[in-house]
Amino acid sequence: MASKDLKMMFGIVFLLLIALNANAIKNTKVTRNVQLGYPYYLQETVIEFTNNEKENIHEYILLIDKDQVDDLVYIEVELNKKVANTTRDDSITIPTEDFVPFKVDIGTLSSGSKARFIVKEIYTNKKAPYSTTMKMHETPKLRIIDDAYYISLYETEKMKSTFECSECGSLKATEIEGAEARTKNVRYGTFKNVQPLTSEAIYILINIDAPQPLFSSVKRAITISHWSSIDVEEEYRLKNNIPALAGGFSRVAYNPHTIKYAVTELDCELPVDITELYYTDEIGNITTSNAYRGSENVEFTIQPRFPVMGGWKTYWQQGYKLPKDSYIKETGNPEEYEVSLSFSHPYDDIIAQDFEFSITLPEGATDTKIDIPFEMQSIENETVFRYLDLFGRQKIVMKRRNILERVHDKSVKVTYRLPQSSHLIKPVIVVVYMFILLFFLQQIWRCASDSGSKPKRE
Amino acid sequence: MEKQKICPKQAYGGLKSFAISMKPSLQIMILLLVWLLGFFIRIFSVIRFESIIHEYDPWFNYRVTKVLVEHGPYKFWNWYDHESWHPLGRPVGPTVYPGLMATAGLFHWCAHAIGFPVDIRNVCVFIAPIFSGFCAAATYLFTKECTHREGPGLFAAIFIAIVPSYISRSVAGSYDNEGVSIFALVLVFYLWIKSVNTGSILWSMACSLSYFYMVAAWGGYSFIINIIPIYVLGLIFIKKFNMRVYIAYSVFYVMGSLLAMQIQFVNLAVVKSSEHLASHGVFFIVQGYVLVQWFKAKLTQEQFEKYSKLILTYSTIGFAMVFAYASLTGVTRWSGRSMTLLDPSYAKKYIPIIASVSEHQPSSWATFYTDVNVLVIFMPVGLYFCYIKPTYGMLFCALYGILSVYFACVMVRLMLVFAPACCVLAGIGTSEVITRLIKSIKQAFIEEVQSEEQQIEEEKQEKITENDQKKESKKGSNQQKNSQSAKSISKYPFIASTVLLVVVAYSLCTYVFHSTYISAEAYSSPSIIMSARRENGEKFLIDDYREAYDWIRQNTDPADKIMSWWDYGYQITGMANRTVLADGNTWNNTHIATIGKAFASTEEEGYKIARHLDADYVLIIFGGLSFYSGDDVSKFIWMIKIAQGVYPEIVESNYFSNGQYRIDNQASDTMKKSLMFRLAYHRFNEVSMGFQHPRGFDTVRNMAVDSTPIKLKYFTEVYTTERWMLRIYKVNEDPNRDDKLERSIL
Repeated sequence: MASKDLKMMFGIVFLLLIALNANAIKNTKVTRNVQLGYPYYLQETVIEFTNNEKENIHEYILLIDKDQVDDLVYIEVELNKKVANTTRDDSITIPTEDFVPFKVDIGTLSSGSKARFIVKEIYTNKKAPYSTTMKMHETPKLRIIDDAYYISLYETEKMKSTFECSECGSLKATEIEGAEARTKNVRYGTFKNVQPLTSEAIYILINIDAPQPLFSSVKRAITISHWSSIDVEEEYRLKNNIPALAGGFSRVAYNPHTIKYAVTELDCELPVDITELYYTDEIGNITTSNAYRGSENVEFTIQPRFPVMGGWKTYWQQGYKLPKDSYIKETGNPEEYEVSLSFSHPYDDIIAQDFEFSITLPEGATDTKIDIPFEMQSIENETVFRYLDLFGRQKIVMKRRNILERVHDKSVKVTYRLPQSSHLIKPVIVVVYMFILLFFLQQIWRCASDSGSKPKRE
Repeated sequence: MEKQKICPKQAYGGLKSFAISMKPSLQIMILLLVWLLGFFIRIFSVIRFESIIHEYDPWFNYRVTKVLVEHGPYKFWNWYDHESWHPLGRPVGPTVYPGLMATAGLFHWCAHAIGFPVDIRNVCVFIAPIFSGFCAAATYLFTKECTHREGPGLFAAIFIAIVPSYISRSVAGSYDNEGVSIFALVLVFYLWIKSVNTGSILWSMACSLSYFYMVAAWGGYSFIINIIPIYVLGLIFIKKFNMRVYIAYSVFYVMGSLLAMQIQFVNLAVVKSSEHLASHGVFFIVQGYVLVQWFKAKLTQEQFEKYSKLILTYSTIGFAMVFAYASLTGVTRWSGRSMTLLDPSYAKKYIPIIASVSEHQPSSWATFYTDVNVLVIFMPVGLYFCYIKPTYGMLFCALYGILSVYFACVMVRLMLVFAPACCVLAGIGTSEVITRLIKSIKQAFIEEVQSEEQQIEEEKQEKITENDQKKESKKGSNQQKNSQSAKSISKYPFIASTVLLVVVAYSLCTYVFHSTYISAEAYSSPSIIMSARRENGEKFLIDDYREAYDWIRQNTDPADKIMSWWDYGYQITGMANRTVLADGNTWNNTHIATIGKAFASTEEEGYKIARHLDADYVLIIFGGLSFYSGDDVSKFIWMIKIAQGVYPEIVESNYFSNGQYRIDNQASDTMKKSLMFRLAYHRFNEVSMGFQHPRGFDTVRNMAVDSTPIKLKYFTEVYTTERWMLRIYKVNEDPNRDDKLERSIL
């Protein structure tokens, strides 16, 4: 009984400490800028704050809306031109249940001193089709539900939010006190002496004559072989996240120069040393693609089979081979190899909502170590059989939500041990097969020539 | 000087013995090369386009094979396909010839078992070219068995490996029954002749087994089950029937019929259908004949004649009555296609759906020339040699040749059955001709060598006995004798035979070039992708079919049904993965006629039929913008004809204006109001076709479409491909009926 009381007391003290700490930080200025022109939602916030406490502080807590935390593609805090460590920490108690705390490691900030950092956040799903359907000649409308304030755990002296969309035809936003709207942007604030957790929901409605491509799923599969090459195959499911086309499609009305909201072409850059590039789907080769090998990379342009209008979907596979000699490297340890490849798909601005990265190792590989720059939702091991496999190969399948090439373009390093003897298995199998084949042929030949001579003997 | 002159003979003898010792290896090498040639000549389509399944029926075969490979043989056997013939569906197991799928499945399974996880699509694409090699080997064996010589066999093997007629059905991607069954056909014939020649039950059993494979693979097996009885009957008539034939036929008939019954699709047709009647009849005749022979041996001449007359009369009358009864009452029935074979005008009169298929038309002379080329000249030569040396095998070849010529004339499709016969006979003919020509050239050559030798000897003699006049005159007479005997062996003059040989060799070369050319130009297009050239000569691909099918696949509900003319059914289920109302398995004429009626009716009436058939989308093919003549507007005549057969309210003549099929301002009113016209030309008159032509100019019909704007009330255009080739319309929903709600409740 006594110990329980004690625990409760400690808990209360801890909460108090946090509350005190919260009061200890005061935002002097928060400037928030949201870009709506990209296919995703990009928010950059400059936060300046002071430490009003007598003691040093080490962390700053950011709040992310609970409903949007699953749509958070990326968060990065830049402090003194360096990336500060930012992690979700659910153990921190905050006075509201609608938000999830993210802890920013700010080093040591002494009493009374000031600091400034930039928070960069990228979200998916925040821009949604405004109406469910649209006619072919109309311009797509999208709506964004947002907040006029930057919601902070701390008191803020000056706060300003700007929503910009230079690509938009028009922009409309909820008018509240302190709002200033123009055709292509809207500003909320400057608000003064904003109390912690102040918020006011707003709607923003934009007319944008551009496609909003989104990968509902991407699978990137890599197969390492010491005999041939490294095979890369990617599968894409793309949708155009604008209001669905209603009232029919017509070739007379369709003109690729005037209808700009359809996804008609996508570009990406692939490694310079690729070979055997392909672009197909379930029913065969898609004939509309171009590739150009430059000095640093291969520029690959694809066109879906049909223009992807609002609400339409498409699917394709693309893949290529990488020369094994330039990618499989020996680590220096005996029989140990290392392969490093990029993690993300190559399309810069398109978010992959479900992303699966898999890597298949050569048969007989052991002591696998995989070094991924991100936290994955799940990592599973499978056994797959490829050409001339006896025991199967290890396939590591990793899944994560919301991948954007622009920010997730980092490399994955795989290290494994492959005994010399396992290089010999495949040639031996081929030799055995040849032997069996010739043996059978010999037997058949003998039988045939025996039976053929019978009638002659008669 | 002397030694050098004697050399040729020694060299010749050495060469000959070397050639003989190398014979088996050479044969294997030639057959392997033939195999390679046959394989490579068939993969133009893969190189020019891609590894893809072609045309219409192969898509169904491919889809069924995928089910077999993914779910195993039991699922395949019991598969009820809901995606075709909506709302009826189709039990696939009992309505297909499973041989092709089983073969591909087996290849796939074997490849996986030995560690080659190949894709089933690639197995399906390459199976026909691989089997062309097997077919060449079987043809070699067949011809060799018939002639007891390798030469004709090798000629026949190379002929069949590259015969255009067979290439047309077995290029890479043409995944159809014919691809494997031509091999099976030739194999059955080889084993049949083998069993006739040996009288062995073992070979007869082997023959029955290969016949079983043939039955499993293709409906063309009925050709075998008719030709073999006819052959046996013929042997009885020309008094060449013996116990070896008796054993061969009895075993083949019993085993073959029993095995054929194991195929679900054939089953009791073995007993019921008239196509098998000949085999039953001949079986009893053969038994009777042997019985009679036995009695003949036991009875006296008088007794025998008395009884035989009696029995013969009654049995003939009885048989005729049974046959007449069976045919007239329809206990056994000739299928429409078989009737067409006996009476080429039958389909045109009674079954428009058979007549509408281009491959069921009678062949023209041009077809013969394109499909077998110079073999058409060598074939009669082979036939001639068959009658000169009438062994059992040769007789069979001759019979096969004659029968298949008839069938090939009746139906273009059966050129395929004719091709092996033609190749075998041409092989025999060519080989015989070349052998004879070479023999006479060789004779002339030997003669020359001999005369040279004699000259040398003469010189020797002259040196030794210059003065002996008597001996010399004797020698002279000997020489004359020798040369005379040599001349009697050499039948044709040296120059004539050389020229003839060159001509034969040249025509054989043209055959190879012709085959390659035809294969590359005519038979290697997948028909769903087309290649064309721009004005500047740049090649580009027209891929509208897949564009539309992929659109359907990605952007319609998986439960949606697509209404289209039956030709595209297999492709829609295969590529778009959606349910269709009718497909190439044209078993339900009424259903097809209903679809034809929908297209031939007014928009409102067509809408009612489409709703009634539960269609969500309508797909039509329109080639007016891109010079594609095989479109639905061209096929519309057949739709009307087929619909007319079931629904008398559709009258063909109403669609013509003054007897002409028109789509312009002068088109008939019924035509302009028909659903097909309205869907095909919806908003087409807004399209500008360049300076030379008016707006809405149809490049296939060569006239501008009727200028009245078409406004659809019951259908919404949801997609049209880049070159307008495929147009997809949504069937509008009834305002008071919520399909989605209905689906969610049910």
